[in-house]
Amino acid sequence: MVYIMGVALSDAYPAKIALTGIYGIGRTLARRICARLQIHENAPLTSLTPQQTTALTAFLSAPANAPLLPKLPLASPHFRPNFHTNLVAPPTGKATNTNAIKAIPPKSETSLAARAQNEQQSVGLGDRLRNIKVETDLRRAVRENIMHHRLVNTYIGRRHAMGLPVRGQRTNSNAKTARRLNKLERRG
Amino acid sequence: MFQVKIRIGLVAAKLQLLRLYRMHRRSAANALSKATRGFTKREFKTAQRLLASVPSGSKATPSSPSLFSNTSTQKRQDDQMLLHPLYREVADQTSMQVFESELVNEGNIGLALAFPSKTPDPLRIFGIPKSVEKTFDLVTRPFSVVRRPTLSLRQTLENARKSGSDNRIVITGGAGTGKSYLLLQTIIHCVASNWIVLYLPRAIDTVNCTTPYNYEPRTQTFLQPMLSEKLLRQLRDMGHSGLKKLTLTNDFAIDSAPPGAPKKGQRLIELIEYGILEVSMAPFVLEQLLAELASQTQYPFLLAIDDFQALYSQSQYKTPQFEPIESFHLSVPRLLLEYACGSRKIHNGALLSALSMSNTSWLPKTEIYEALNLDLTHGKRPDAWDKRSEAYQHYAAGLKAFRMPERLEIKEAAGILDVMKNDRALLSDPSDQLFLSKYCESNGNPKEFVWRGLMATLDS
Repeated sequence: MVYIMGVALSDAYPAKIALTGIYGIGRTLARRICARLQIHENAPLTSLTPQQTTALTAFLSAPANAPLLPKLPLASPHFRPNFHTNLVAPPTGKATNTNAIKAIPPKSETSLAARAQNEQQSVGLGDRLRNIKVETDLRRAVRENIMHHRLVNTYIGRRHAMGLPVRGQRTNSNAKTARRLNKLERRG
Repeated sequence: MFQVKIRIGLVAAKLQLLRLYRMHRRSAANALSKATRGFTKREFKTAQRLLASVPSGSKATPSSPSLFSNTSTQKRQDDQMLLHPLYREVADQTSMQVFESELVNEGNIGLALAFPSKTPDPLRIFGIPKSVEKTFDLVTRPFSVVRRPTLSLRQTLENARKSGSDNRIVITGGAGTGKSYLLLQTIIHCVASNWIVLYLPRAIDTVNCTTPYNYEPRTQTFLQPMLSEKLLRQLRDMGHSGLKKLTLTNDFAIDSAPPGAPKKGQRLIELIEYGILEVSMAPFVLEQLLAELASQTQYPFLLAIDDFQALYSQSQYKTPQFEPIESFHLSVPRLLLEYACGSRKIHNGALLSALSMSNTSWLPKTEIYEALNLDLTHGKRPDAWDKRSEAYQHYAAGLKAFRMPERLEIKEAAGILDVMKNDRALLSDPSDQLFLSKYCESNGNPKEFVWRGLMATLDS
């Protein structure tokens, strides 16, 4: 059992399915979260490293505080890093020593932060995961929405208060679920 | 309809067996019931073996635990029940020879040869494709038959190696024509001929998001450290003597590498051990190791890949922005693609790969389809409106197709039937009529002949 934000996630499922055990995360959001944290989505939950589990917990605790990630530059087929081996004729046509392996320059020159700062790369459509709510935050938001409806005396608010269906369903018969679940202090 | 008939037939057979052995001891009956509980052919075959191992009433000795009661009438009934040859004979594969290079010749086409099981066994170390694994489960001893393509591929490989030309061969053919089996036969031959072999039985596993990945800004690709470490471990476990004799021609020079990085002149096995120990360095170690193996000429090097078409499509990995990652942006597939397109050359050896039509999520895409000039047995032909990626076209350039024949020859099919008959793998006693009818119904396609021909019939 892996515990994330106090929720016990089953070991029997891959990460992209197990994460749906958290209130507020469905199948799509689980895949997006795995991609954002570079967790391979078909990973068995037991194979997650402690660092990955910590990263998951840290992200889900405060999604709005997570840093914006820049778009990663990806190598074309003709890209050659400084470290390469056994390339006979690189496409640029430069003559190289066939088996020469050069050291890769130190990390600081090609760091992500430096690249983002210098080139001001965009993040595409924006980080869709910044506005998500899970667990207690989401339950609180649902309760606040219902309370708002009640306070401004809308039809929806009155129906929640009476414990009746809200969305125009019949009440002559059925409506059992609404009678059980629709409350002002709804569980969520 | 045919499948419904098979199921009804199996149910009837199961009921008949259970009825026949009602008198037996509870433990034996329970064992039999458990064995026949499922409807699959494999469990039915297990039941047959259980029955075959039961001594018949006439042969049971007083000391051995008898499954029959002591009354004479029941003994007579049981003797009659076990008279059918299916219940008396057990699987016997002692006459099958083990795969050896000398046995593979023109005169032995159709001869069934067992895969060798001496350590190190490449099939156990590298694994086998899923479709092959299912077929191995049918018999007690995994085998293959010598076919004409076995001889011609071997000849092609030898010619290419001797002439020193670019040898990047892709085995093509429709579904079930025996591409994976041919690749296995060639690998066994190469291992026996002291080649250094690296075999990826399921290249789909490099792109289906089952291993960890992390972005590396220096190479602008996503590294796959665990996958690289697994390949290094498999090479080490093969235990080729060349890994202990060949030495590095360059230092392993990566900035901020953990201490212990091997230097020029150290043995390749030390480089491998370093990569296994420092998993974060495994992708770079694998790249340098393959470069060293490809550039040396002392030992021929075979890079064998099954499910080759999976390398020419988008992977199931995603960027942090949830965009799909192309296969050439992952470290291991990119390395394999660079060997496939000739950017990295194998000076003494070959890259031998096989397409696979088993997994419909990973069928050959447009670029590989056109590069190998495939036909309709590999899926829909791409038209003028299909998008073509320049990157994959670059990686598919220069590949040579080795076409599998669509049909088994009669001798080859007969070899398969003989083995399955001796192994008691069939549900019935095979006759010439059964053989020819199933051969014709399957049009000689090996997979159809075995699975939907021989294994799916109740004719007797």
